[in-house]
Amino acid sequence: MKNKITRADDIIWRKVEDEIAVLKNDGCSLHILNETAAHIWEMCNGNYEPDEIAASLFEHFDVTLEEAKADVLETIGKLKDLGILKWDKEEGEP
Amino acid sequence: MLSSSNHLLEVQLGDFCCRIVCNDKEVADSLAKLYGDFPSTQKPDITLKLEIVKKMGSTEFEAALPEVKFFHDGDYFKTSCSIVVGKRNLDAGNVAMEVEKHIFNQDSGRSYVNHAICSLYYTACKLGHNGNPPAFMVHSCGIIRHDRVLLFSGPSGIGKSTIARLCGEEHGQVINDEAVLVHRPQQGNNTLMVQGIPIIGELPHRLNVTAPLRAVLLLRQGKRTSISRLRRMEAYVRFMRQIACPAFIGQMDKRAIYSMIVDFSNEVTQTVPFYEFEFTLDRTALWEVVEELEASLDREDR
Repeated sequence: MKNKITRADDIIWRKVEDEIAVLKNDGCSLHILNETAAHIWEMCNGNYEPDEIAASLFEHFDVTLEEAKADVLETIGKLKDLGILKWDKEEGEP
Repeated sequence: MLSSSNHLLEVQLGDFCCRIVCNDKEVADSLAKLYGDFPSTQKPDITLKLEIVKKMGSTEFEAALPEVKFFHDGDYFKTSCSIVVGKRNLDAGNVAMEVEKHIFNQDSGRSYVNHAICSLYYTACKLGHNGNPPAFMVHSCGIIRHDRVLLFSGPSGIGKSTIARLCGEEHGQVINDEAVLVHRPQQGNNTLMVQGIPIIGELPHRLNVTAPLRAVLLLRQGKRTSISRLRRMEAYVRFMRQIACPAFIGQMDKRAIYSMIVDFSNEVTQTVPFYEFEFTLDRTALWEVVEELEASLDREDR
């Protein structure tokens, strides 16, 4: 079973320089993602698994692959808890 | 056909003309005085039919006002306690409102009148620009200095009117101490224009002028006078909160509304410099810091 992650439907997001601002549609909550989290966020489009995102992070930032995997899982977990990311429904949550 | 008891007023709201038809001479005269600097000679883009009623006592009105909430149902809208009851007719380009008279008599009603003007402006944008406003209303005190505008921006109570008072006549021309229109950038032109609008602040006068925007200073009350340049993201997030809700009357699509806000904030923050401006009531220090800022911007321009 593949585990792909995608963005919530009720959000608006914009890239501002290297960072990303994510606004919930109710206008009540706004989240700012730093450069690393922004890179992860941009790959959370339903096309990539966490391992693939980690590989990309390893390629673009000064981290080991293990650190990248841990960062990706931690970031996805936090953003999911905030309600702005979700596991792809068709693939199912791991 | 207008009845002889109706009073007419045509007001310039940005690029649009708003015709106000009012059944109450006293209110019409008061609006004519408030909006006297914004006469319009254009063909009206939108008409507000204002029917003034007096159903509530002043005590009842005062008690109800802080709790007022707006409700929309299709073309119809009203507030709690029916202080305002209305209907929009976008096809005909008009909005009819029955409004409790007390709202025009007291300072506490000012924000509702401003809210109505803001909504009428964005409704005119809906009619004339298919919902894509050419300019957005921003909570700011706009001051013209050396032919360009500095916006002192921030929420109610932060000190916009205080800045305007500390400006007086010798440090610049105050466009408005509450809100201005900031135009979106035009293709091939990186200058943002600021335009006066008939939003009522604490100062008695407003200017019906347009001038280029030089910088935005996000206000913070403090124990000293100082200024610091803001990172783009911080400016983007903080400026977003100073953009008045760009919803036309009856617009319920929050995603569309917030999309306009985030995109406009993005456009402005990538075009002009943003600063955090901490200030006190020390007028001399305030304008010295502003002059230093302008000198540094002049050096950047060169």
